[in-house]
Amino acid sequence: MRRALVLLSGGIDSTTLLHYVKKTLRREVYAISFNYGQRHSRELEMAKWQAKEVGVVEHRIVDISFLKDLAVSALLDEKAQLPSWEEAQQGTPSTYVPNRNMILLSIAISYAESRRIPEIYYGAQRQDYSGYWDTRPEFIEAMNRVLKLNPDFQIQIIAPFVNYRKADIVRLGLKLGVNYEMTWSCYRGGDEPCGVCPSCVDREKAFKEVGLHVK
Amino acid sequence: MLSEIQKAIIKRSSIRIILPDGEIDILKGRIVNAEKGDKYGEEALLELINSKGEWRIEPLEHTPPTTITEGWLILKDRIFPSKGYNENFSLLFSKLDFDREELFKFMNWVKNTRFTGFLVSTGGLLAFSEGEPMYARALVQGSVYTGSDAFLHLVNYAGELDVYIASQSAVMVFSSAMLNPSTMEPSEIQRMRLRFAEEGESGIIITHERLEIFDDGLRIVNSTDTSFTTRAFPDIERKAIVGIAGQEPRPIRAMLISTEDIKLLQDIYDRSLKILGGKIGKEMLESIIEENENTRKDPDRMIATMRTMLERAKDIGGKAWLKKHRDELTDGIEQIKNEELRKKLEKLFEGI
Repeated sequence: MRRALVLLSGGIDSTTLLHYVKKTLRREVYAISFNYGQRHSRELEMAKWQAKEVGVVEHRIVDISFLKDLAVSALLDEKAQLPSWEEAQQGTPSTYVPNRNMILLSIAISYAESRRIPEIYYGAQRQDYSGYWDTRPEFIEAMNRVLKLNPDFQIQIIAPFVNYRKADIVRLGLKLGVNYEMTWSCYRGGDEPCGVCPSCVDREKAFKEVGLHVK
Repeated sequence: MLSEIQKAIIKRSSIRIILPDGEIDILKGRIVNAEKGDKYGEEALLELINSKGEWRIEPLEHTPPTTITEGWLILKDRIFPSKGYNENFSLLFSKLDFDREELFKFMNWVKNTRFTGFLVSTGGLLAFSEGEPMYARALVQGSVYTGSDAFLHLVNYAGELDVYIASQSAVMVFSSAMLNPSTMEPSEIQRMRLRFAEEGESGIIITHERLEIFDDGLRIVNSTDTSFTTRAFPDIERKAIVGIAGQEPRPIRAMLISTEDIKLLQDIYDRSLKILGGKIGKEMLESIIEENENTRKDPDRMIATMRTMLERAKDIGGKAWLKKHRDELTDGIEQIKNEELRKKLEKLFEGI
């Protein structure tokens, strides 16, 4: 069975991706998650639960919380005000963590190469294009071009949902039997989702579109 | 099947190619998914492309999961495995027959994929480096045009196109050498080859039998594809074109606008000729009419001519006279879809 590594945050997109890679593509799945100092570290608990649910070979949670001291982002600073959903649609939102995704992918590549895993699955999706440059097809294509330079082991980054909207992802996840109650989207952290941050609003819109009411 | 994939990529269409044992999905010109049994992605794509089974095409109704995030730059070598592929110069598509709108889309494809190579039509060629037009040559009624004139002629009257993919160094040497070409007798060719090799120079030698490109003395292209040389250079016959690279070529600046926008611009231009013609003086009007056939193909030239006429008409007739005709002169500008062109025209007439 072909090996695959999934970048798993514990949110809707990467959790659906985990189930898709395991159940549809039937890969031998490894998962990697990151504590990068995010306010909503609760998502990592969800990631653990989902990795166990799917039955991954190994789930690593890598601590890169030093990023909190280096990078400026409303996602890393407890005191910073989070943007509204409307504000987040205007260019790059304050929740953008500078170059986070390339850092996460680079660490994932190192892990994958060490374990001879040829495929890395990345949950980028279309609704993030406008605000986050590192979720666009061109970014993934460029990363793959760099990876082609490795003469010893060829790794490919694959983003199955890069042309999907969040509602499309949820629709697919429901078919795959994903338990979305065990996913976390809220940027604010805390015990209950705030319901007003851009991530909560996106989540609610996606569920509403497929006719569901899940917190 | 390969030609269907090629067409879908170029026309940026969304299709599903269904084979007995799998399928290939193309979304807006990008190959995004391939499935064959338990295999997905590039691995499945390569097997499906080489399979011999029957296939059919359906429109792509829903966005599939993207199992292929490789772009054109990576896939091109795999899905267009032309015989004798040479990274410096290879035929990619043969005899593409486009109407103007399709050609328009194709030119966008050239830009978006940062295509490097040559487009060859009967009597002309365009050289592209990273999606930018670097050199254009067109033979029109016995005269050779280069630069934006040739570019616009080729875009408007291209006919069937052959597309050659080439290395950037081959295109840059070619474009630079063609800035200063000279015609020689075939007996001189061997001497030129020796000169390129001994002096380590860069340049080109073109005859109907062969295309040679030398980069720092090395012959990086030695093509006997006579279709390229006879179609692009029908005028050289038994002679040779030789060029030595030196001056760095600059991208050709030419606006690529739709048929509808060209028609609207030509209407505005013709009306300007009619209205302003009576004011600007016989001598000037005659010289404009003499150049008219070429001017009407080139948006920038039409705008430049209108600007000259407006200034002259303002000197002679005065601002009030121009103002009286303002609505008539500017009619149709707001319908132009190309933003750059519309703004240029608005700016042209804003002073009236």
